[in-house]
Amino acid sequence: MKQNPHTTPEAYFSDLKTRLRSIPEMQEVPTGWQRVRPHLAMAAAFLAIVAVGTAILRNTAGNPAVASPDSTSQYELAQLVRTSSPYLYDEDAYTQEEEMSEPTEEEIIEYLISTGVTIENIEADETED
Amino acid sequence: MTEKDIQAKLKAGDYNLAFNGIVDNYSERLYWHVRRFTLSHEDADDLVQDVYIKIWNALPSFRGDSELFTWIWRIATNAALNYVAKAKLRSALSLSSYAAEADRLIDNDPWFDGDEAERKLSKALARLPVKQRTVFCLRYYDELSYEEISDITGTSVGALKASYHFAAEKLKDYLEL
Repeated sequence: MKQNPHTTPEAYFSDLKTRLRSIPEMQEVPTGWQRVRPHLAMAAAFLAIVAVGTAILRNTAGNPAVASPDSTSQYELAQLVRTSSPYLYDEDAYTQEEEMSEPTEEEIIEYLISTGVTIENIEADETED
Repeated sequence: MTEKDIQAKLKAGDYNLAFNGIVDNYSERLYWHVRRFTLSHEDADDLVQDVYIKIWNALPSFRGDSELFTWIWRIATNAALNYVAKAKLRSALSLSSYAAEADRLIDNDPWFDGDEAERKLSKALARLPVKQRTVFCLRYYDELSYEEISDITGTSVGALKASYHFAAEKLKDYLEL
């Protein structure tokens, strides 16, 4: 050991040893149960959360009031849902649309005029064909 | 009580006798080890007690994979490094530097009995990066082999040799040797 520039109070080390030897009396060695207890507590808490979650899911999934809301009509539901298809909730609309005949030539011309196409343009296209 | 005797007591589950053996064999040497990090007798005294409480609580989990001495020194070195980290944080929070605080502790230590060169060496040690300081103290003062230091710190022998070399160079510079 190298030269030590530090000192200690007189009889310090015998006093230190006496104090250190008393540590086992002050500190209780944790038993197997004491070591396992916090882990068991965490596992129990986790199981409780899973059990409560499962119970809530089962109750809500089996409840028709939650599964299919009778209070809301299909029309209201269709209004709530943003969709470009009117057939999603209105089956009648689909049937009516299917039954509609193809547009007549007059209806096509009216539509083209309303969108800004001139009669001359339409006639020019017909001549090209 | 030799280290073998202590290990035999531990295997037999006689923790009280094993602990008393550890106190008798290592407490004085362990005090000097942590004193080099705390720089004050009072803090070293507290830290040694903390280390022995940790040793007592961890005794049942000592499996004998490493030497008992290495295991004890690992606990003590980790405690000492935590102490230094906290001391550095305290210095930073009080807008001071750890080196200035170390100088103050060394200059005002009533249990310092060295000459001016030794005072300067203590101050220089406190200025080393903590890893280099640890390696230097374990190698120079505790006279441990690099293999033992490697077991304690978990650092390779090559890295330890480099750290020791850098530490020695910095100390020479500081001491203007």
